[in-house]
Amino acid sequence: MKAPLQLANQRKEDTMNKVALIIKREYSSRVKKKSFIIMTILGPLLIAAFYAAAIYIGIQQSDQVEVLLLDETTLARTSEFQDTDNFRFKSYTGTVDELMHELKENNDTTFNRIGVYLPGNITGVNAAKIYYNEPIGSEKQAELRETINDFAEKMKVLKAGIDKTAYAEIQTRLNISAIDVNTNTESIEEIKGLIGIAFSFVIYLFIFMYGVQVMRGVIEEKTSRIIEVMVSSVKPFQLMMGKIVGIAMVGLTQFLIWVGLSAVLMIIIQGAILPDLFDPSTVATLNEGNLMQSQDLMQSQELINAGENTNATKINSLVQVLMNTPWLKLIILFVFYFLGGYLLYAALFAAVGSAVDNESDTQQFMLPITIPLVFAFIISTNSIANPGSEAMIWFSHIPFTSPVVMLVRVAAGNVEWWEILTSMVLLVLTFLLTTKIASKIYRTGILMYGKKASYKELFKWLRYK
Amino acid sequence: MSESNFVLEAKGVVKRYAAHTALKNVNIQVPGQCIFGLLGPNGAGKTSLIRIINQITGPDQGSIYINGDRLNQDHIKDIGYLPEERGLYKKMKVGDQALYLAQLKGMKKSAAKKELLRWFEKFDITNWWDKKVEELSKGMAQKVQFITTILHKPKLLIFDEPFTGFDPINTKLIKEEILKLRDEGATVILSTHNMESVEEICDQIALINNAENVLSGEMKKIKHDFSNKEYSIVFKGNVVSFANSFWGGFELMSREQIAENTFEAKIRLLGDVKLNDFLTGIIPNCEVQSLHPIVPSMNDIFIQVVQNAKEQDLTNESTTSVGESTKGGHNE
Repeated sequence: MKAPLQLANQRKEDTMNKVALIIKREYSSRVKKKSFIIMTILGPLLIAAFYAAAIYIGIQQSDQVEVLLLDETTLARTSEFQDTDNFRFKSYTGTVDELMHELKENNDTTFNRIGVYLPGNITGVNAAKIYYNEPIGSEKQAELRETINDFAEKMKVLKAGIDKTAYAEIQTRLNISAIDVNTNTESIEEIKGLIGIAFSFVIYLFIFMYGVQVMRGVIEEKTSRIIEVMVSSVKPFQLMMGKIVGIAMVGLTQFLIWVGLSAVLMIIIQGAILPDLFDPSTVATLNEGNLMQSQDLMQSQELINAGENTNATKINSLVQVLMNTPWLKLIILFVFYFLGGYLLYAALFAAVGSAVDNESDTQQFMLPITIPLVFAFIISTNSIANPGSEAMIWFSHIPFTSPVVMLVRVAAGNVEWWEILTSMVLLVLTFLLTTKIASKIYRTGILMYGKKASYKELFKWLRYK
Repeated sequence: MSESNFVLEAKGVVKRYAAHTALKNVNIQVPGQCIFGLLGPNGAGKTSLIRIINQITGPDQGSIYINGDRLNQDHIKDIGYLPEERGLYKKMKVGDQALYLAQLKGMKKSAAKKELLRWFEKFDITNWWDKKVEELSKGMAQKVQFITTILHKPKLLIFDEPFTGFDPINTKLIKEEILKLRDEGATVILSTHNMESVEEICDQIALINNAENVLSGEMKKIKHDFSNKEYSIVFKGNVVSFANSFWGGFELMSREQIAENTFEAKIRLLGDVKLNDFLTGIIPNCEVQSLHPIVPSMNDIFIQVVQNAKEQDLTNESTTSVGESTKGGHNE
């Protein structure tokens, strides 16, 4: 007879071997599936296409809009209203009604046409009007308003008899940067927010996708009736954990392939669309200290004032944000929060799968799982404006929402390490708790056939020995 | 290690579910190297007991002993279980699946493969190795399941309705294999409603009804105990004179003419009357051609025991109202 300790070790080893076998089967049976391979390759392609589209829209020459200028001051055409990339100005003679009629009737589909009405006493009424048939984008509208404003300002300057050069001196366009004191960099909050939301979305997607896979796996084992054979060899808990861990590894595999392929594809796309970005000098400028960057920015700003090359500047700052994003930190935290969130929910998904006989019966039990997840995602998407809000802080600590919410905050910066730590510890503790509860439901549920369980019954199962 | 005469012993096993009690104080003793029929109507508690033996669930009270040792994790590899609700992973290949299940029972991969190939050859299914399970018919899948149940050479085998889904030829094949396994030293627990197979291959039985073990022991002895002194007699002669030879000690259960002047009758001896007395009575009146005792079939015994219990229940129920008994979705 073996010594008790030896026996215990032997048992432990047997258990580990069995769980490893289950993990291996769950993993390899999924990774070999066609749908997995397609998704894994298609994913980064989609991301790359999205990225390429974003850059393309950024640099693309937007369609010129024809502006019919009904100018009662008769001074506009010669001063401010010069053609730009966005606008082509054309004088219009007639009344406002005629202008409106013209826009309404002679609607050309090849380009957009709008009208601007500058009243004769524009400096007196302090008003002008833009008429449109098809609305123009907010950026263009802003540009047009600016032009009209400048014109009115100049009219006033003329009227007041101020010297033109003195006026030019007074006229100010400050370059005001918003610097994050934590990183001492300037950044575009929206882009940071978008990066965070992208991560939060992938976590949300993965928890759902792979959670549902766990659920389906359990239902499959139940309906194919392999389950009773399995649980006569391994403990239900081992089977459940083997499945959950195996599928988690499928998720991680997919994510890592995505990260790798996306990185490669992005570099290729950037290289193709923006070759100058990989000009050593540009890269050097971007990588050097913040001082250099702000100088660079100031230079860019001058360029803006000079009215040249605005698109390149936009992309420059986009690339800066991308380069300043703590990718490694985000990816490491992604792996943690994906695993934590997935493990927390996967056990619940497994319990749901065990309680039903087919997928169509899962609805009623899915709701309590779906609501916190969807809620967390909504919170994240609403956070672009205010990533440091109190709600965000709360939900980045609550374990049912933290996996989805926390990365938005991390991407935006301003998260203390102890906040992350607290949220992680809470997540792990809750995961242990939900797994314990779920496994109790699971081990009873898997052996119940032919009857849809109710919530009441699930609570009863928790007490079975 | 304590020694025991029994390969499996259940002592005072109780299993309760929320709405009903699946097993109340069940005691069962399964001697080694026998085929033990575990019988009982649907919902009697057979599957609950089998699941406890397989450590799928635990008993609320009582315990199970294997060769005198209290049931523990190490016994998993000593038990082979073919559940009634059985299946395989549909998308997996037959060979991979069988290897997987064998490894989960603790077999090394190489040994499992060797054994599997031997069995596949024996059952003439070698060409199924690379087929997906979903391509197999039900009977084919059953064969694979049977092999995976016995592959790791367990000392205790539990078959729950092993013959359903098999054609007569395969049923015979499986029966022979089960008998062979017993002869090679295994102990087999056979749970089935197919009383013919019970008669054919079981050495011992236990009948569970309403969560209790109501009858158990050697099958021959049980049959003898249940024989009601009934006989079937074929005679030539006059029916009236046959009937005339009747007196208080016999009961004529049925009578049938099987040829001209020849009849077959079923009779039951009443009270302490001996067969000799009956014969002395009729021999002067007719010519006895054959006489043999009617041994009750397991089917009869099953029905008799279960129905008696039901009648008893009904009389009990008329005094106390029991509404819960039909509830609870648990499978047996």
